[in-house]
Amino acid sequence: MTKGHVHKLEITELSLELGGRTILEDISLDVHHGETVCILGGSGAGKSMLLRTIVRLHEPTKGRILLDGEPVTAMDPSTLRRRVSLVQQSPAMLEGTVEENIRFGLELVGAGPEVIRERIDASLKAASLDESFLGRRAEKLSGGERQRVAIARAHALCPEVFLLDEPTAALDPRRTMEVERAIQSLKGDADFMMIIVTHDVEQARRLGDRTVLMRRGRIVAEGDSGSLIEDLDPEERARYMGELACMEHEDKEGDVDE
Amino acid sequence: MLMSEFDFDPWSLEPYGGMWILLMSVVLLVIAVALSRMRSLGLEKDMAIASIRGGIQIMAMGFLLYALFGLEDLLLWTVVIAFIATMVVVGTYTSAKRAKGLPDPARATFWGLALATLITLGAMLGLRVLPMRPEFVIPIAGMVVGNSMNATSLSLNRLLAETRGFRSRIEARMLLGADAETSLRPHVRSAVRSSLIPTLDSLKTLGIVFIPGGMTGMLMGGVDPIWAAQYQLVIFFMILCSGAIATVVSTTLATKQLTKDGVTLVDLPEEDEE
Ligand SMILES: Nc1ncnc2c1ncn2[C@@H]1O[C@H](COP(=O)(O)OP(=O)(O)OP(=O)(O)O)[C@@H](O)[C@H]1O
Ligand SMILES: [Mg+2]
Repeated sequence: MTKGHVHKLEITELSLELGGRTILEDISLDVHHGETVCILGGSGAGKSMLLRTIVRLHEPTKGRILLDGEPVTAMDPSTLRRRVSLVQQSPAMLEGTVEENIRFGLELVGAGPEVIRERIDASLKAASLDESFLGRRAEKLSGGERQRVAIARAHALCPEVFLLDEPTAALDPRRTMEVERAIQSLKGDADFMMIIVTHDVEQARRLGDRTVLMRRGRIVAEGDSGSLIEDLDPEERARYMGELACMEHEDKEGDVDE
Repeated sequence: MLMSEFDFDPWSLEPYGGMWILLMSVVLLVIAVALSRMRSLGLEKDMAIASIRGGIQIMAMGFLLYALFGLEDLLLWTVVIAFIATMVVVGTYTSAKRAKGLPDPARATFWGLALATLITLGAMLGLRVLPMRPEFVIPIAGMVVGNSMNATSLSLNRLLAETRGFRSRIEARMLLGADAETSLRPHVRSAVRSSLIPTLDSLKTLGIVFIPGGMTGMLMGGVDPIWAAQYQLVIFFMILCSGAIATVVSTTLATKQLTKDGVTLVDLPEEDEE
């Protein structure tokens, strides 16, 4: 499977309203080839909704999303979603085994057995999974394992843009390191464009070339990953740190639920 | 008329007479109501209302057919067709209530029921299985529409429940490049399958576990039991066929409604009680 690459993802004055509520408001963001942008923000800031809107799981109320100048709304949704791959926050597994999960997208594009074999190997590696996972039932895996299966099955399709929604939220520190290393190596590949949602400032610093901060559906700050938070005015920074503390609290509650 | 040996008087208050059997069978209703009261099922009112409503409807139907069978040909068939159309329309809205949440449920159920009825009845009339006589066509149309309606309700209800319950999995398929229809297909499949299972189970146990109403009626009417059995089988094939048509058509239309232009999955409002 060969792939091209996207030179520029351009989001202009994007707004999204659902059920009378404004979810995203006036978002403008450009991402270039080879670049990794991290999105930070408190719970409910609209980070996930922004990624979902890029791949047309929601139709924007206003504004445009262009992929190398072509509006995503003019593209065939399946083609768009193969080129721009979204790995959702706590992703749902398909029925069957891990291998079937990875095969699903490949079979849809009519890949032959050899290509499928090769893609499975490559994507297992990319998601720091090993062969022993292939025969396991995907639904029975732990949260962190599912996260990696989701990364693997997306990676298998050779996307040009990777949208990762809290890719390490459910992982222990060691797995987090492994997935981060995988993301780093994808970056090393340099044929990628990535947007990574995270609530870990340190992770944004490690992975992002650039970081944007969202609050209440808006982008409130944008800058260098290393210094974005430090550069915020003290009030904004305090507010952000407060939100972050709330979010970690919620995550813990969420773990208990599962 | 068909049941020539039928010489019971509908107005008689003597044993086995029409008025007598109605009054006496109230005993059964009383037992059901008493059970409901004893176990606090809270169904007493429903049972009473359903019995009165159903009673009025079926009696009205009886009188209508009685009047109908005396009509001139042209007028007769106009009324028969109007009759069947009414069944389809009532079925459409009854079934649509089970598919609340779809943008336009009645559209899905109407085409399902209409096509199922048209094709099944048309084929049976054309193949000369069903005689072109209102006393055959109307009750059989009733069975076809009624069973299709149940199947449609079951399948749409299931499809909506699965779409709600498996929303993130459906989206996961879409995110891996499947179009919206493909992403919903496993759920459409299980919806259609589950709605046909009751009919299949009845067919499997036909004659052993239960003798359907139609055959009961024919036997009581004094028809040759062998012919009655043959006819009952035909009726079951019609029910199976029309159920399959109705559910396939209505779930296909429902799928279109669930996926806006094949791009996104519509937001389904929260399910209410049922
Ligand atoms: N289908 C929907 N319809 C209406 N509102 C929605 C829908 N999905 C999400 N929202 C709302 O959109 C807002 C943004 O949600 P989003 O999931 O993008 O937050 P987030 O920044 O990803 O938060 P988190 O860090 O908790 O994942 C929230 O207020 C949420 O309640
Ligand atoms: Mg989120």
